[in-house]
Formats: sequence, structure tokens, C-alpha cells
Amino acid sequence: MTDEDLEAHARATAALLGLPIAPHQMPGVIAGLKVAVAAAALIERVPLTEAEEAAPVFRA
Amino acid sequence: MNAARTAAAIRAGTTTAVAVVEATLADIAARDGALTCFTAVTADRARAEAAAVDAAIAAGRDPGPLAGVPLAVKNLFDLEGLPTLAGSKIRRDAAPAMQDAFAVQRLRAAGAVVIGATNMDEFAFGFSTENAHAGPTRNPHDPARIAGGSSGGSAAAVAAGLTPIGIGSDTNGSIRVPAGLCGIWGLKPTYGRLSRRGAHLFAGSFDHVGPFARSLDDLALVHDAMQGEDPADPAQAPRAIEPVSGLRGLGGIRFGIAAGYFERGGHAEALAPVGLAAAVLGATTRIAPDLVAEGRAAAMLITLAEGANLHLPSLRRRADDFDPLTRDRFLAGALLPAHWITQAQRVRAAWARAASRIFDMCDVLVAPLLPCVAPPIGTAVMEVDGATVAARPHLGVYTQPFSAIGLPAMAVPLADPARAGATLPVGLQLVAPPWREDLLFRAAAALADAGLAGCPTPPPS
Repeated sequence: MTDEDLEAHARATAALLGLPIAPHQMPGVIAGLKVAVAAAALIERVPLTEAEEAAPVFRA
Repeated sequence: MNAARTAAAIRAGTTTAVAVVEATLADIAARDGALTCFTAVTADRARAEAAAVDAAIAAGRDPGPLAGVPLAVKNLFDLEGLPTLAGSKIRRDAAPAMQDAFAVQRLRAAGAVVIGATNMDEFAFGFSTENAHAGPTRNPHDPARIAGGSSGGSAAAVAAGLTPIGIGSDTNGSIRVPAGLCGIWGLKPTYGRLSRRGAHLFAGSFDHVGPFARSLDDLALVHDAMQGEDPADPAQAPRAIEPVSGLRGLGGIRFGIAAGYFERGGHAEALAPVGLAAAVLGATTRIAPDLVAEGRAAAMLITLAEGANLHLPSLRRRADDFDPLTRDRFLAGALLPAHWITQAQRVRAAWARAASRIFDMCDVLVAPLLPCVAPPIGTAVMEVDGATVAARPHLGVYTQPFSAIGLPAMAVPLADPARAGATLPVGLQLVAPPWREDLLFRAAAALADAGLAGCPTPPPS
């Protein structure tokens, strides 16, 4: 994933959210996304069965 | 003086709460300019509360076990009449809080006196309390170094002796990290043990509140006072008050030594306390849990997403009013694919199951607390295991996995850092199964009684 790819993702998603991102903020946003991409790579490798639920449980 | 002795002296009439508060206010006025622990000193309020404690004693009433003890409150807990800044510029124009946070109400009911609100990482998103708006909180052991965060102001106030006790919040390590870097005791109780009402959220899936102290007895005293049922907190579990004050004795407790993940990523002097504590506790079983790194990664993603969601209205309107150390991370957190967050919550559950197997083999896990001693203020990167890593997030490498699954964990300071080859505070972490804070206090008492655990005295300031 290149910086250009991450910037393109940031621009498209921010537009969807109505979230302005100024040019001086973009390098930090890209750096933050790189941290998230690395974390996501770790959790993606965990084999989960379809029966494994998310941690928070709602109690009515 | 510690909290228990201060309260005893006030109750016995050898001093008064007003005298203690006046001395505390004078000490803060003289020394906090160099440390920046407090962002607001509540002098009028403290004087009124102290006078009420003295009046209660004069009338023959018991003001409680923390009678007249000055309390430092992280500025994310509501204090009636003050805007709760949570370390931000954005909340400077927020309406004053209508009432104290539940934790503050409980401590007030036990006699504590609110002395002020303390500095923190903006919106609790950091481990360093290098706050751009208020300035960095400085470590009482070396003012050129960070106090840690995000509850850095409360931790440094207690370490410097400005107050005997303080409270903070811990989402990924924000009580344990500054406690460790400042050389004091800190407790992150089980998720759901203590009400968070009136404590501003950061990432609700992981947010906890808890105490700081310079003695283990005081830590227990504050934790016991903070317990209490609060139907208004949706995250609090239905649980009776389970006091931990005065617990002693190791009878039957099995100890494990955290291995694998927990043996990597830290400097030798920061990891050494684990072995020293294991020797005192007779721990020989090494346990390398599965999925620790994955659990931490899940915590990072969920924190980013929940924090960004909470602050999205401000990010849309006035992002440049955020602290530069938080702004772009919050912005990035708003942009994560939904799949990652749901996957992270499922991995978190898998890590919780893996962690539960730790406690098939032991009752208390002895783990590292921090990867290093307090870095100099402004440190962006550090070297570990021959690699360069971002220093600020790495401070949570050993705390984050446990808060992610709500396990009770205690920061235990080493009385003499030289025993670990360090010249600045170092410590270790004790971790227990859910709801077993009692085991942490028993183990910690053994370490304190053996002379290994205790708070090193900072140089005069």
C-alpha cells in the first residue's frame, strides 16, 4: 500500500463522511493509516470460525 | 505523609483538614510551576471541603477513612462548577459540570478533599502527557523527562508528594504507564468494577477508572472508597463491593512469569523487575500466551475507531484546535474499514479466551510494565531489539493487551531502581483473572514486605 493509495482512500472516505482534511493534515493522516494497516494485518491472520462472536455483548 | 496517616492525624485532632489543605495549596503554588501536574487548582472548594471535615469531627461525626486527604483528579472526571477539559482546547468553552463524577462523589463521601484537576494527553489519547495546550507534565524524578500518560498529571502529583493520592483513567495503559514512569502504585481494576459516570469517554470498550498512591495501603483505601453500585453506568457489572484493604498472605496463590511476547520489545533495565519479583514470589512457571500481539492490534484499531467516532463532530468543524499529537490519529481513525473493527472485536474475544488459559496455570501473572524508563520530553522514536519504533505508542506495549480484555492489573514500583540496573523508576505489572483484585493486593503486599516494591523518592524540587 503506497502513500498515494492511502491518500486516495483517505480522500474518498473523508468525502463520504463529510470530514474535511486539510493538506497540512494529510501526512499525519497517512502515517496514522499506516499504523492501522499494520495492526489490521495482524488481526487478519487470526483464523476465526463463523461461530466466533465479537467481544461486546448487548444485554437487553 | 501518606493518606492513611494524614486521615488518622486529622481524625485524632493532632492536625486539621484545613491545615493540611493550606499546606498542600502552598506546596502546589511553590512547586507545580516546574512540573505542570495541575491545570486547575480548586482552592476555594478545597478549603470549604476541609472546613466541613473539621466541622464534622468537632461535631463527633466520622468524616470517613480519607478524612481531609488531598486528592488530585484527572481532568476528565467532572468536577462540579468546572468545565471538564479532558486536556483539550476545544472544551474550554464547554458548560461547567453540573455535578461531580461518580468516583469523585464516592471519594468525597469518604472524606477526601478535591485539590485540583490534573494535566493529561488530550482526550486521553496518548501515553506521554506532552499536552500542547497546557505544556508537558514533567517527571518528578527528572524534569527533562515525561511523566507518562495519559493520566500524567495525577501520577506526577502523587510521585512529587503534592498529594498522597490521585485518580485517573486507563484505556490502554493510561494509569499503569505514568505510575510506572513516575515510580508509584497504580491500579486498573477489572472492566466494569468501578463506575465511569462523569468520566469523559475515550474508547468505551476499554475505558476504566482507578487510583494512584505512594503506598499500597493507600491504593487499597482509594480503590475501596471508589467501589459502589451506580445504575447510571451502563458498563458497570452487578457486583458487590469487595474490599481489598488489609489483605495479606500468599497462601495457595500460584504465580506465572509472562514469557514470549512479554520478553521482547523492552530494554533490559525495564524488564529486569519481572525476574526480581518472580524470585520473591517463588514463581518459576513461564507462560507464553497466544494472540497477545493480535489482541494489542485489535485494541489499537478499536481505540482509533471509537475515539474518532466520539470526536467526529469536532473533527469536522475545528480539527486544527486539536493537539497536533492527537489530531491526525483521530482523523485517521475515522477512515477505517468497518470490517477491521468487527474483526478486531472478534479477535479481542479470541484473545480473551487465550488469556483465560493463562489462569489454568497460575493465579497471578508477573509481567513487565514498561519497555523503558521515562524518555526525554519530545522523544519520537526509540530503539528496541535493534529496531527503531515510534516511542509514544510503544510505551503501552505491555499494558494494552490486558486493558483490551478488562483484566485487573496493577503497576508495582521498584523501591530501588538500581536493583534493576536503572537510575530512574522501573516497575512490573501484576495481572489476575477478572474480579480478583484481591490476589493483586496480596501479591503486591508480599513484594512490599520483602522490600522489593515501594516508591523511590524523587530528588527535591
